[in-house]
Amino acid sequence: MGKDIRSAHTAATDSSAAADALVAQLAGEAPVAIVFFAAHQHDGALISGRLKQAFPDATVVGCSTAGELTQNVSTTGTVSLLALGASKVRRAAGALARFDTSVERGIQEATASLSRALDVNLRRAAPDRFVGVALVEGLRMSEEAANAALGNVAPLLSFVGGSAGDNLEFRVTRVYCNGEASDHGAALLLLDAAVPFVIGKTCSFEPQSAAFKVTRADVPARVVYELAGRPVLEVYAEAVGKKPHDIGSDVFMTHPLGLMIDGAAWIRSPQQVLPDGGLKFYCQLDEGTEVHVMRSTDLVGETHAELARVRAALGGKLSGGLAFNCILRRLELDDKKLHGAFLEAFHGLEMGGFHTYGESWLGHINQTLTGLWFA
Amino acid sequence: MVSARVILRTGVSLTTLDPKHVHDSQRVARVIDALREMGLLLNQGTAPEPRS
Repeated sequence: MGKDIRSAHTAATDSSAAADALVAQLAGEAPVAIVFFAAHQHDGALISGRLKQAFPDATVVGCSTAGELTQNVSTTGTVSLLALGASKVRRAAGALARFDTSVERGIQEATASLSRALDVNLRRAAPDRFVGVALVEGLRMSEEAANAALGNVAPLLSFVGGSAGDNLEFRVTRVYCNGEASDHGAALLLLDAAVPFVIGKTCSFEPQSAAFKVTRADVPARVVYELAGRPVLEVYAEAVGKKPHDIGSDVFMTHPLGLMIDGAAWIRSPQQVLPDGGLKFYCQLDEGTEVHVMRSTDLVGETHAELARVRAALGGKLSGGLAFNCILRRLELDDKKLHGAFLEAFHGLEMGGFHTYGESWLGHINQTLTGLWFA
Repeated sequence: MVSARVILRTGVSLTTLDPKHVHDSQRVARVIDALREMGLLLNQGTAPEPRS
C-alpha cells in the first residue's frame, strides 16, 4: 500500500543503478507526479526516462543540482525525489520549455501544452487547486524572463521552484521532463491538487539600513552601478561598516540586498565587484527599486519557524512537499555544520528538494528557501 | 500576489503610486506595461508617455 507522498534517495554513483534504486524504493506506489533532483555528474535524462518507464502514468520532471535534499539527507553527488500519488494530486502534466528561440516563446509553447493536457485555461484555473513547479536552467540568466512569461500566461497561478545547478562548477545545468533534457530551458509541471497546499518562502535576513533607491543599473547583466546617486560600492561599504576594498564574498553572504514587500524580504544577493565599479548580483535589480542592506539572522531557527507557519496555514495537517534551497544557504550550513539542525525542521514529513542556483516564485530571488507543501 | 509580481519585475511598488508619486510617469508606465502584458487591465489603453 503506497503512502501517496514519498521521498526517495540514492547515493549510487552509476546513473542506471541510481534509477534502479529509486524505482525499488517506490515499490507499491502509484505516483501521478515524480520530481527528481540529480547531481550534475548523473545522466539525468536516463534517470528521467527510467522513472517514466517504471511509472508510465506519472509525469516525471527534474533537474541537476548543487546538492540534494530529503527530510533525512542534505548532501551532494546523489539523487533525491518526491513522488506524489492520487490522494495528493488528481492529475499532472509536464512540459519542457525550450529557450533556444526566446524564453517567452518557450514558456508560451510549454504552458499551452500543459493547458491542453489538463484541459484547463491557465488564466481561469483556480489558484487554490492548480499549482505549478518550475525548474529553470541556472547559468544563462533566463530566470527573470521565465518568471515574467509565466506571469503573463497565468498571473494568478503560482509556479514555484528553483534554478538547476552543477555544484559550483558553473559549466552546464540541465532540466528534464519525461526522458528529455535541456541545458537551455525549463521543466514545467502543472498539478491539479487533491488536497490543500501552500507556497512557502523564507530567508534569514532583516534590514540593517534604511532603503536606498537603485539609480543606475545594467539590468539584463544584473549589475548595479549606483545606489541613491552614489557609487554602489561606497554606499554598500558604508552600510556594512567596511572599507570598499574589504568587500568580498564573506560580506556578501551575510549582507545581501533586500526588497521589502509587506514586511517580507525578497533577497538580491551580490556576486562580485566588477573592475568598472559595478556590483554584479545573482538576480536583476531594476532602476527605481528601493532596497535595504540586510543582515543575516538565524537560518535554522527561521526554517523551523517557516515550517511551523506552513503547518498552521494547512490547519495542522502537513504531510510534506518540495523544497528549493539556495546554494548560498547550503554553503552557510556547510560552514556552520548545521545540516542536521536544518533537516530537523522537516522531521516527520516526506520532503524532496535540492540546493539551487536561485529560487523562483513570482520572480527570481536569492538566498531563500521556497517550497510547495501539501496537507 | 499580483502586486508582488509587479514589484519583482518592475521594481515599482503599487503602493508608491499614490498622488505624491504619480508625477513620475515612467514608473506608472512600467506598472501599466506589466499589467497589460499579464492581461490584467480592463482597459487595454496605452501607457502614458514618460515626461522628460
